[in-house]
Amino acid sequence: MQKKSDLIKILIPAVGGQGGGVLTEWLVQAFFFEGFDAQGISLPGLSQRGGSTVYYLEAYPKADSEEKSIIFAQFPVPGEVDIILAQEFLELGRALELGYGSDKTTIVTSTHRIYSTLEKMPIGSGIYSDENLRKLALAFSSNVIELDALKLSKANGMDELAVNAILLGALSTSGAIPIEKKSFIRSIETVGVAVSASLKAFEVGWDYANSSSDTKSLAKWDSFVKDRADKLEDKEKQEYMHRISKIESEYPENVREILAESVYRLIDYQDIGYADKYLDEVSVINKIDNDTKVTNYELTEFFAKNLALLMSYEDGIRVSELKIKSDRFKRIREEMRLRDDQVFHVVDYLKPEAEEIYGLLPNVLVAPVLRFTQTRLFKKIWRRKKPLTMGQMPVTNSFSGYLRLWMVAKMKFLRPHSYRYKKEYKLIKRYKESINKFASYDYQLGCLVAKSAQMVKGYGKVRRRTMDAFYRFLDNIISPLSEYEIKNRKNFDITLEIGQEAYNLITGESIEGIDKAEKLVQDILEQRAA
Amino acid sequence: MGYSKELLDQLHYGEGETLFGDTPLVILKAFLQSGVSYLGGYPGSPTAGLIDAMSDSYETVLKPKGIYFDCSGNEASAAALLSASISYPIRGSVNWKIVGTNVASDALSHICSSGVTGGALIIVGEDYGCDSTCVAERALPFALKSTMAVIDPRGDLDHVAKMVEVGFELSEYSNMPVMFLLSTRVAHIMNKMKCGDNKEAKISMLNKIKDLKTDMETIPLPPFTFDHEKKKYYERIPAAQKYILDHKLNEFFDGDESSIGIITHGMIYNSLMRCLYNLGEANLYGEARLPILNLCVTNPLVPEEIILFLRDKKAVLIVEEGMPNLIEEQIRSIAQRAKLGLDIFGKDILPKAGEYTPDHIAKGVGSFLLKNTLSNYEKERIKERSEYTEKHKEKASTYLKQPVAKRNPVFCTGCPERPIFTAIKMLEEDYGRSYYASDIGCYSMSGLPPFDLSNSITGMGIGLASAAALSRMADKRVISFMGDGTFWHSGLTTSIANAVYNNQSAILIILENFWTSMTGHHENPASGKNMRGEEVGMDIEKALKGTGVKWIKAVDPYDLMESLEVLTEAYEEDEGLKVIISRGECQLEKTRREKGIIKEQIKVGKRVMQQKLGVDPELCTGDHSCMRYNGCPSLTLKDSPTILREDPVAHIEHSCVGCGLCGEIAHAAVLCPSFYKVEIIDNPSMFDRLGAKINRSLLQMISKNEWMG
Repeated sequence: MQKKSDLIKILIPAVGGQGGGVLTEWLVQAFFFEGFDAQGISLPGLSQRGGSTVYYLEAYPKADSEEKSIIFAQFPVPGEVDIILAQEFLELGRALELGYGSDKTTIVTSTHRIYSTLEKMPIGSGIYSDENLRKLALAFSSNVIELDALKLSKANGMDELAVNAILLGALSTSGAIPIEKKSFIRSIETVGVAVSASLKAFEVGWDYANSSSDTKSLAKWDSFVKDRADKLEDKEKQEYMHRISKIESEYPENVREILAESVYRLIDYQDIGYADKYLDEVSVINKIDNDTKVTNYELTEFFAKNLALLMSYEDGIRVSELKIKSDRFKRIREEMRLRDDQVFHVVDYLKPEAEEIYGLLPNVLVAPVLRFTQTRLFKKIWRRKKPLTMGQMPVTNSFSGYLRLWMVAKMKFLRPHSYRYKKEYKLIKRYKESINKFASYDYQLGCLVAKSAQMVKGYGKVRRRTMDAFYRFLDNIISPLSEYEIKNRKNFDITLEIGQEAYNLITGESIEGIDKAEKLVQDILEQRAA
Repeated sequence: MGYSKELLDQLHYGEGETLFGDTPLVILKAFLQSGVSYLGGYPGSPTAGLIDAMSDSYETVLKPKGIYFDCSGNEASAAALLSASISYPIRGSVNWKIVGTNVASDALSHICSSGVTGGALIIVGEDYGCDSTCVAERALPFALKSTMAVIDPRGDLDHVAKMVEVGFELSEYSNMPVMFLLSTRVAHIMNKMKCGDNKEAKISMLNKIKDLKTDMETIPLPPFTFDHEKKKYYERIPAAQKYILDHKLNEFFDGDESSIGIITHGMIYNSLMRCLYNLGEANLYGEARLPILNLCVTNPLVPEEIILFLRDKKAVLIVEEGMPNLIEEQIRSIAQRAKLGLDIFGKDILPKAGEYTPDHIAKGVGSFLLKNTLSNYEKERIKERSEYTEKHKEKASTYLKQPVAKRNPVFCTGCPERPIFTAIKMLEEDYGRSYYASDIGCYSMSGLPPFDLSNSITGMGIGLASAAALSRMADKRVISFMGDGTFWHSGLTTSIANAVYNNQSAILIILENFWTSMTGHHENPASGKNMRGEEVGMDIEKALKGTGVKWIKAVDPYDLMESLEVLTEAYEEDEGLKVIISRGECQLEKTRREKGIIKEQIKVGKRVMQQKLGVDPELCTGDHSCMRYNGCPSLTLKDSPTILREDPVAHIEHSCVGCGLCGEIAHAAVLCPSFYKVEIIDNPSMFDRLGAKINRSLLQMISKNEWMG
């Protein structure tokens, strides 16, 4: 059979409401211009509300006699699709998982992601791995052309819907489809939807796929440091560079960026002394890595990340400071695509809980009052169950709004004496001790504990609950399992496996995952005991 | 969206011209070529596009031709339209989705009993793959019990158009209404159609009926119903069979291997031919090794035709989608009566469930061929090819250990329905879960993540009624949801009148968004105008009061605290029906309409304020609590700006329409200070500019000239 007489089957996996219908119509019309018989199918409906959807198209060169006509199918058949034109990367994965790709399939795909609700919900990261999607694409295709069409459209000042025409442009240069460029252009003009923008986007896709040489510029260490140093005041900058040379001499390459970022963050958060305190703590844990003679310094890496985050806990001072930073308004202007002739107001949704406010006060004042609130007498007078909150919506780029936050930010000097500081330091202390203890049992176990502090995050009640989950993770998961294994076994396989599973349960769903994890550990220990 | 003027202009095409468009446009053209006098229906997938085509062409095409069009109150009122064809030679057509047939059934049964004089065509959206909110059921059994002819077209637009025209003829010839099945895939084809001339209707809004007939014999009451019954089986069905036979409506395709054959129907023919092509048994033009009978009329079957096909054959396979397999059973009985001694295969070797796609039937068709093939070489080929797809699918689905993440549909950006479910999520934190009786509409999605608020979906307008017994038997509050479209469709009587009459204790939330959005934005009685563009005012609150509902409160859904307070108040009340009307226009429709207006205002220099929301990535700690209350497509994730955080942080995309819900959530649920709202003023007034100037100088003063905002 000649190549051109083959029935061409094109599947377009898409996210509902992203313009796949128009993309299909462009293709159908272009086939008509090339003298093909063609049939397009679109499937709106429930899936149009941002769910998964597909479009399908078949084309065949016109029959010689008028009598004969092609019997088109309305469904794609797994293993029989010639071209998959994917509007979004996860949808490509789903089409391939259903078997639509095979060794005769050309894939043209955008690699941008529109995250699904289920990916957004977990307290950790629920994002499906691109690497897996790429594996599928390579396994079930003869040729893969990938481009980040959304990035391209943004870089060219176009909207999200331009993705479709960009993909069409990329498809037309792929050689997988017997349609001349001029037919595509004519088809875009005929369909008549956003013609000039679509033609421009088509050319962008065409050019990109024709001259594809993606030059990735890796962030260099020097510029990484400079970016941060430049944000500091002159005096601090000198001190910062001083710390950087210390980091360069004492730490391996793979943790340097983390330390440079952390030291910058803590100088910005409090002062040089505070950053030094951090470096001292890291050097203690780094010693474990040095003594164990590991090559990747995993323990240091996890600890350095999490300690910096724990030490720069988000209190009212930090929030105020970040809210009035001048680069913040610059960023907002850019993100909102504001012009100079527009006036804008930034209104912040702030609602600290009472604890976040009194927590700023010195511990010596707060502690006795708090002790009183725990008494039965107080609970009799104060029947409210929900925590007190102080909702406010300041216009942060107005004088009055700015001033309010500015004054809070100026309370920085009080921070090391505050009630909240004491509370956070209790956690940090526990964190350090646990790493030391469990790393002495087993290096990998130490790493797991070092990593697990990522789960501590959020504000107010969320932070209380994540902190509580972390304590319970140490007390009710890692401790009992490791103690059991010390007594009964030679290695820490169970602790490592179940500990990791517990960590996944908590970060992979919601904080309630800790309840399930505790139950799991209880069951395992009871089973073992029996 | 709708149909452009260019597309609709093609409706005027005559003989020899070629139209390009989708299935609804082609069907509408076929209506015009058939000389219809009236059209109607209730929008639902996959027939919703038809209502769009009719509504969009009303002013320029239908009205000038005097064709009556109405978007009916529900499927029963749509079916009732067909009464016009009972006594008069008037052609008309109505349409609805598969489950709408149940709503229409009362009217349909009666009209089918009376019989029709003018051609009456009912387009039923057959959605056996359940691509919309429906159940997997077929329309054929309904037609059989009420005695309607059923047309099931192939997946080909020219054929669809031809069968529409034939449908009217068949209906008139047999005096039966004709059901025309439009399956999801056929309903969404984009292709060309060869046109014919349009026909003028003899009776229309321009040429009205002068003398009204009184024909008692058509009234479906005893004693006339006995006569109707006789007519159905002694006159109408034989007439239809004669017509089908005379006009060769069913298609015979010859093949060399004349000892075996396959009988199929409608679009399944397309799937079957692709399946045979993949097995190496046919070419793309439909020329196959074995003979095929494709039934384009699935009721009534014509025994002579079937016998003609079955005779001289050893074995025949019946490829019929869906259960009950009435075609297969009827063919078996025809064969038995004619004492034909052949083997008939069907659901014994083909799947009993699922849409008949080419790959779904491959194994069954393959095994039929294997049973009836002698050559070993051929056998091997058939076996290998018929099993190839299954094996390939298996390989693809197990290739990765971690299955690809699911993506469920979500409420659109800025949707006014979302905040109500957010409020209920917050209510749950204080009171625990209630029994959630959901209904049919966009809000059916409340049962999906992130909300998971749905214990039942029982059908259109039925949600509250479905919880009647549980309202008194479950130790939980009942909360039911209903849209405005659903309210006027049947909810007012089925659920609300029933609840008031029976003193049901429950909370009903009516989501009044002024559109029937789920089907693709159709006007409904709450919209203020009908689909002909005529003004109408129908008031839900007045209707509720008229029914006797005492507790009615209206809320602005975007004011989360207000909604939460009203919900709490309703929750605390023990007895009676509490109705909360959440009023907010469908955001898609609102944005579509206002976009142009705002652009125009900015152009002419008017002061315009718009808002958008944002998240400070430095402040967001990435715990994603906001996502679990929200699920807005514009609220998504991105990498944290600091390399210290492994998990992504929240991010609001430029597609944000500024409804403010995420900020409200951060406030109401006391989540975090990361959210902010930006009010953007175009063409600022003197006052705005002066204010901004004063602010700037003061801020530069305190920030020691670092201020750049």
